[in-house]
Amino acid sequence: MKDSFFRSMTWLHTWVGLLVCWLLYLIFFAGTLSFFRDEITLWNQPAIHNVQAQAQRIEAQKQQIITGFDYLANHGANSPSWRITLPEPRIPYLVYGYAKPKEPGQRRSQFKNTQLNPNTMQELEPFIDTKGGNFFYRLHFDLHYMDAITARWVICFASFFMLIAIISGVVIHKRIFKDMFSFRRNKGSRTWLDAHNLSSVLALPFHLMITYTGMITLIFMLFPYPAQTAYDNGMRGFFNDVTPRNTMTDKAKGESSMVPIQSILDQVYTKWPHADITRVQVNQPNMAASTITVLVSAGKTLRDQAPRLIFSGATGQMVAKTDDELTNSKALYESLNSMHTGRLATWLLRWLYVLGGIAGCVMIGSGCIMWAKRIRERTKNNAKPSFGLKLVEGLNLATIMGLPLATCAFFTANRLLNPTTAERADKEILAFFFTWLAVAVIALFKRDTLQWRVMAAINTVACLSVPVINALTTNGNIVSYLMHKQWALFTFDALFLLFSILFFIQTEKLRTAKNTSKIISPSQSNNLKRQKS
Amino acid sequence: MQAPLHSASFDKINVIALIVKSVSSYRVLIFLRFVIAIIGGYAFTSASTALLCFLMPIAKQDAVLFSVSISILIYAVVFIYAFSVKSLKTVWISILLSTGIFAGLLALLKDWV
Repeated sequence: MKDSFFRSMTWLHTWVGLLVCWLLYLIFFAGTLSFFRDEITLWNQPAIHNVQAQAQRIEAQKQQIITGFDYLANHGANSPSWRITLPEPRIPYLVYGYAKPKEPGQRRSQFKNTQLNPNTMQELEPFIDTKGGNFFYRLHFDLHYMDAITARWVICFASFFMLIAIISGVVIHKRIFKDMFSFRRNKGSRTWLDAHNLSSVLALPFHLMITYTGMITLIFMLFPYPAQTAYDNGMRGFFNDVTPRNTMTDKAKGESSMVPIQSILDQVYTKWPHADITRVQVNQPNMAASTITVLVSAGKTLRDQAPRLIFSGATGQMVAKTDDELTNSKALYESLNSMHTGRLATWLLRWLYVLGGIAGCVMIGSGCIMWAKRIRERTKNNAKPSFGLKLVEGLNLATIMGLPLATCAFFTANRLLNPTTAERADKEILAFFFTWLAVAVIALFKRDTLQWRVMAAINTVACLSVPVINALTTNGNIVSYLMHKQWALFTFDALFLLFSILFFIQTEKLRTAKNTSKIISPSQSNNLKRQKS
Repeated sequence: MQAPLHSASFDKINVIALIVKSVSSYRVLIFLRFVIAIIGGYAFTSASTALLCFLMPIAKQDAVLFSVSISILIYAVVFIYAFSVKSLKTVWISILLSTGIFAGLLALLKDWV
């Protein structure tokens, strides 16, 4: 559209990026936290802090399932479904649950869950009502306080613009290798450009992968047309085709006693001798049409749909299963999905995912700051800043400094709210959004360097207060976590201390930065640009 | 009698000139380019992946999974194309025409018409 491809892409990169950068920052921020979803849930739930990881986790599974079936047969004999959720490396407790009869107006029936310590098989203290890591997980593709489907369309739109920004960014970046080693400090928007380039290029494969695969996770909402053309009954036909289902005994009528679970487990272990079972589900227990689904961990394979075997509860016969070998198309689709969710990641890869996510936040944050800085530098000293510039500066401050503060508020609320408060989980979330709104209102009025400094100082205190409040309100603290090798909890607190230090450094830096930004007047920055080119 | 007629046609020309001018204004051109890139690109991707899925000689579910897996790639290429070609007319015509052909072919093959 411009004279050259290069210039068109420069234009596209700037405007496509700027239009959605704050939403993308939220997606990347919440998405990065989602890689620690289980750890955040653990921290939010003090009742499970002291549940030790089992030494023989997989070996204990068989007995846990057998005990679970006894428990559920006694407690939920008339329930429409049962669920046994076994401990995983990052989730230390065991859950036996059965569905309560569906009440009118409910889409899904509520589960009555009993959480147990797998080492002692004792019931755990009652759980507090909290969303934990699931809040951030949902936030990064469902947003909040709005219809989930609308939110997903918005997210897909922003993600697609992100993909366009990445592609056009690669095109306009001529010295992709050389720039990896250049970082010019204290040069106004130049410094931000270097930060933008560095964070983009270092983690470029991650950015491309996570953006593309993110849209793939929602692809059947975005592009249902191939499935609708191929199947006469549309999406439903397609999903029925790819999901293993019981079509052999599902029409059976009447009640029937269930086969001993032992015989079903024997079949599972014959097929997969080292099976790491994650969940056992029973639909319509004690009925002739009942099914028992055994899900196992996909381990380190690139599969997102957990491998499973489905048995008839009445006969013990296997009625359906997932494919053992994936076809090429399925392998492509499954690997794209599993790369995004990172369920296969052990701790080293998980940390790489998180570092990639942080690089993404830096890339997006530096990009939107750079735009504002450049326009500022170009504006004459006495000229009034335009509405657009003020808006961008306000949104920058509100998003970049507001989100960490809101996150601190979420965790602080988790510890300070009374465990018996009604709708407690919603109030934690309210604390998150209320804090964010407060920062946004402040940014509406003032968004100069001083305001950034004030926000950095507040964030310093807020990040520090999370581990401190944790130490005051629970039995553990960062030192005891270290002593007892509770690494997830220790890392959680340590990260907040680290970010507190980083925000403190930012506060100190901004004290001096105020002067340098004055030194670089528009004419000087123009000189700088001339020197470069 | 002639004078009002003359002024009326003069006004008409003025209005047309105004429309032409506003349509060729920078903002409108940018808007039209985003429309064809976002909506046209979406339609192109939908039609081409649906056709591809229908034509692929493999199992139905595999054809669906393959087509959706590459759909975002197709969309991105069309989007970049819409912004890289200088003439807006070329962009509009090429995307609409190819989408129309894909959709028409699919309609013929599926006996929709």
